[in-house]
Amino acid sequence: MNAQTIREKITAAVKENFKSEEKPFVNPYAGEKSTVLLETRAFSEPHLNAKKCCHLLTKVLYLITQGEKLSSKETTDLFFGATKLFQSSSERLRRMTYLLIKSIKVSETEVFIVTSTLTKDMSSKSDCYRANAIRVLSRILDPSMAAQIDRYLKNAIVDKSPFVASAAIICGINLMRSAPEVVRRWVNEVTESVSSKSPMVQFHALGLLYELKRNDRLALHKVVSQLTKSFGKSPMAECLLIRYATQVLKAERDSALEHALMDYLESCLRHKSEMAMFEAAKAFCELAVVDEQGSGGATVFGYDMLPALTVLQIFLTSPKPVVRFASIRMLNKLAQVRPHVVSRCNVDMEPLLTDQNRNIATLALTTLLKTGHESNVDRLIKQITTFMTEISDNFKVEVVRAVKTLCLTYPSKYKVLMAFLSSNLREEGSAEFKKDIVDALILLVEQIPQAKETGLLHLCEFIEDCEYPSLCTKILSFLGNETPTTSSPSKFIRFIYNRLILENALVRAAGVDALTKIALKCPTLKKDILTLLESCTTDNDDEVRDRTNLYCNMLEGKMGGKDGDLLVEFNGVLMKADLEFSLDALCQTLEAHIAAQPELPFDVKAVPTEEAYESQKAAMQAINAAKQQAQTKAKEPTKAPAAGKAEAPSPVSAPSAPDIAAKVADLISAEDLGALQHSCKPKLATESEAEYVVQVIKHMYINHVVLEFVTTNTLQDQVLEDVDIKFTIGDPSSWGELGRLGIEALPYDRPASAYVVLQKMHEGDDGLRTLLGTFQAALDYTVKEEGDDLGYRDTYPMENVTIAMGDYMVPRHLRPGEFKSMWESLQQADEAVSKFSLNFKTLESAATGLTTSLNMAPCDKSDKVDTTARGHTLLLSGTFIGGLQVLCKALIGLDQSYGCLLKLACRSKNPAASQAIVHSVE
Amino acid sequence: MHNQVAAIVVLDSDGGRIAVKYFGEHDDFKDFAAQQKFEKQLSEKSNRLTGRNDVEIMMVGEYLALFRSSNDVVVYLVGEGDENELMLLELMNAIYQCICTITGNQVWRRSLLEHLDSLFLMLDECTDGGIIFGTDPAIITQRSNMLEGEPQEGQPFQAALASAREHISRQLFSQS
Repeated sequence: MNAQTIREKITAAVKENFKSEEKPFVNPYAGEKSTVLLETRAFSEPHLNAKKCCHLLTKVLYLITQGEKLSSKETTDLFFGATKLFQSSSERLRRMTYLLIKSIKVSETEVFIVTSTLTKDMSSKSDCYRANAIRVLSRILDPSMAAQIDRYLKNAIVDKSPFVASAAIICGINLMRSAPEVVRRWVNEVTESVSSKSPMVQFHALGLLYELKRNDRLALHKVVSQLTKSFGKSPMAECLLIRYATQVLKAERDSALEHALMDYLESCLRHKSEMAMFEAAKAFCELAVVDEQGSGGATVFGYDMLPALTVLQIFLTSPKPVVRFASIRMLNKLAQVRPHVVSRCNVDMEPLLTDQNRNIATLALTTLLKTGHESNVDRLIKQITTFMTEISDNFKVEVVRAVKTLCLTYPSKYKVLMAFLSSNLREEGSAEFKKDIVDALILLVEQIPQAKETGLLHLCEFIEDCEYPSLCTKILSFLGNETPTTSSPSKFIRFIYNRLILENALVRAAGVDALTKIALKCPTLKKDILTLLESCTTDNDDEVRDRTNLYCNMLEGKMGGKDGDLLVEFNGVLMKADLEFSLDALCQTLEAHIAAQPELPFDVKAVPTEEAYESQKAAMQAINAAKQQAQTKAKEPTKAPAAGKAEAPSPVSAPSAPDIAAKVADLISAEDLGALQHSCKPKLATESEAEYVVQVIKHMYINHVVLEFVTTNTLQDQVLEDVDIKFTIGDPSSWGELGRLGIEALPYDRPASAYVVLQKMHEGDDGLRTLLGTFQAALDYTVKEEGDDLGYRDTYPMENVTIAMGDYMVPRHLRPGEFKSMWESLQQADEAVSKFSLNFKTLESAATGLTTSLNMAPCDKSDKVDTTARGHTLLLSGTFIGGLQVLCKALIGLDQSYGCLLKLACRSKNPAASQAIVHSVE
Repeated sequence: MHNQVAAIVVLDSDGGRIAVKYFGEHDDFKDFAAQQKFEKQLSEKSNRLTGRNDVEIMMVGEYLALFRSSNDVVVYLVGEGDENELMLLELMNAIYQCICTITGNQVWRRSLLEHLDSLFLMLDECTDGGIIFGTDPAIITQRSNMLEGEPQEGQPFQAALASAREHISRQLFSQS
């Protein structure tokens, strides 16, 4: 007999064994709801058949599993039936009955029927009965009942049977929600159980102990640091403790505690169980996200991340898919904040690209895209291409983002990366996905000069066959701006012209725009483009036809005389990338204008510039956020008057900025006040823990400043009345006080505002109206304590209120790379430069100090100072009062003999403003 | 103490329910329809990862889902997204081991349905309201059978025999 025949025989024999498979199988527990419920009447029979009842209970549970809903009457009947089953002595039946009661929603009014039976089971000799009874009770217990059986449960927690102890502790965890005061009495027993011999009891007890202590900060610290010192915890309990230690570390920065807990976490990296090792590594990674000081570096709270990484790295090669997944998922998260640290695992991540579990492969891929080295880029891209068809759209978007960053990091790889992006444009995908790719390509073209032509050609190819008009117009407008500076603009004209013939009106109009822009910038192509535009002079669509005709006339220079002036102006508008005013603001102002005085002509000059509008909005948002914080602090959140104000829309010009203007209307009319330029961030004028907390918000106007004192009374038993601001002006030649507005009554925890309106007395030396000043201020009020009708007058000092140059500035964040182009677009002739020597000890503190005092936003990550270098360049951007865009370049150097030296250069369209800003540093 | 487990789901290979347990107050599982939708996702996603003889893992929405397929049955353990995967793996291994014991190593839909009562009880013993309650298969099995005292070492010989039988028959089928 050869091997083949043996195998055949065995196969036949095995098949014989499984023959029953071929008969139709009927699930013994399936049944109609009505039939099954009818059958449960057997529960009430005088002689219970335990086996039959078990079978019936399983049938009912299967019904519930299949999604059958029981009406409340059916539930009640079933429940009453089930209570009869407690008479049986069959253990199996008892166990099934417990399960049924846990699986149905017993009505609160009927629960009492089983409680006595369950309490009896709780004092049974059998551990199984006791534990199960507690587990059922923990589901149906109400607080009053909990108090009754308090003693039982308390003893159960320290029972020698782990089953009973765990059941009681979990009952405690459940009760924390409904009757925490009962559970708090068990704290000693729970603490004892944490050192139980049973691993599960340790785990549950630790969980409950944390719940008991979590709201008491100091007690929690004590418990956590004590427990970290004791040995012999089960792996799962260890994981919980690691988690709690991590939470304490995240919340608190106490160096002694930090040291002890970090030592503990580090020791757990060498734990004997994989689970706890991983939890500790995970803790390191999570803390790496929080620890800003170590950001970018390889330390967490001063501890080296290497051991944690080594653990993850070893797990990457585990034979278990779950372990590989856990590790790569963690590394993926870490790569988002510290790609350099993760890159040391690259060697072990690369094999995962071909992992049989696709989820692991995709995670490895996106991680490598963040950490990958230049030499691997080609290989990575090849790998992704095989992935793209299988992964979800969300993930695709993430891949595009990663590829974009990769390309910015390794610009020399633009060819292969752009080709990848472009090939995805041709694949199936959502509009969102396509838009992301187009945005990525546009950004790359802007950022990487050598990639420009390749990128533009990719975009051109895409519009040849693009189903989204909005993307098409976007690309056309981009082409119009960019192609004139390429080596051969004519190459791109064909693509644009094709759109003129093949697309809908919207796209055609954009195409016409683009061609005209090219013609204006490249005179050599003008004649050809005019010929091309010819076809559109008779377009069906009014807009396209009108535009084309206008452009043609303009290009041919047919307009003369008055029209000629118009042409020059128009030419300017067309060639400029940005409008001089904010579109949102235009919309808002126009609406206000039509409502108020439709007969008068509208003046565009009244509309604030984009920057001014954005800064006003940002300032209002900052104030709203601060006010909302004050609101949520209040224990009884009532609507204080400030709240209504905070919700008001952002002001654009005086008529639509009614709030502040309306508040101070008695002191100054809205017309005299003018338009709100911006509001500064709220600044504390008292200690934040003081009895009365005052925040000052400076609302800046061209000729005035409105000081708003947001005052909060933190004393519960006091009311302040007739609150006034005592205000002293140091330099009356510069500043005049127009009037003050007090607060009538200031009850506990309801912030209200007092106002002081200041007028600028002269224009300042440079005509900028950026006067500076320092004022003394104090609260002046009548205190009335509870039950006291008269009260007494008192004052409360505040810090001086200063108006500095920074108050006339609003930080304006720029996109990466934007600073350079904006800096160059401003004239060097208008630059103000000065050199200073400052009192800073480090480059970092100098950079931060300068940023704060100028109140500008750092650009291109220049706020990150290389501490080892001797000099640093800080790039700052801000919007000066009146919507003036200001850029500063600060060279800071540390010199052993001269200290900290600064060369500050400032550019804006107003040389006087630049000068004033530079000199404000002195 | 937050829950480690969001759901345990036992489905057949067509996505039909054999047994399920959902925990916590997640909107994703709030009613039968929502649960069905979630199970469909589970089933579709896991089908793409062809079953090997090991616990596999994936993300479904915000949840971690560990699963082990065997013949025409898939057992899923669904955990919160930020849970320790290795901790869940320990529970998953325990559950699968118990299922093997219940069915005498014949993990088919049919044998699970035949031992449905034991399956329900076992699932009840390994978690309580989303908190892991037991990860030792011997203890879980003993508790679901209401047996007192310390767990015994099971029946090593029979267990070995059963697993050998399963191993041989699988090899034969895969070759034929």
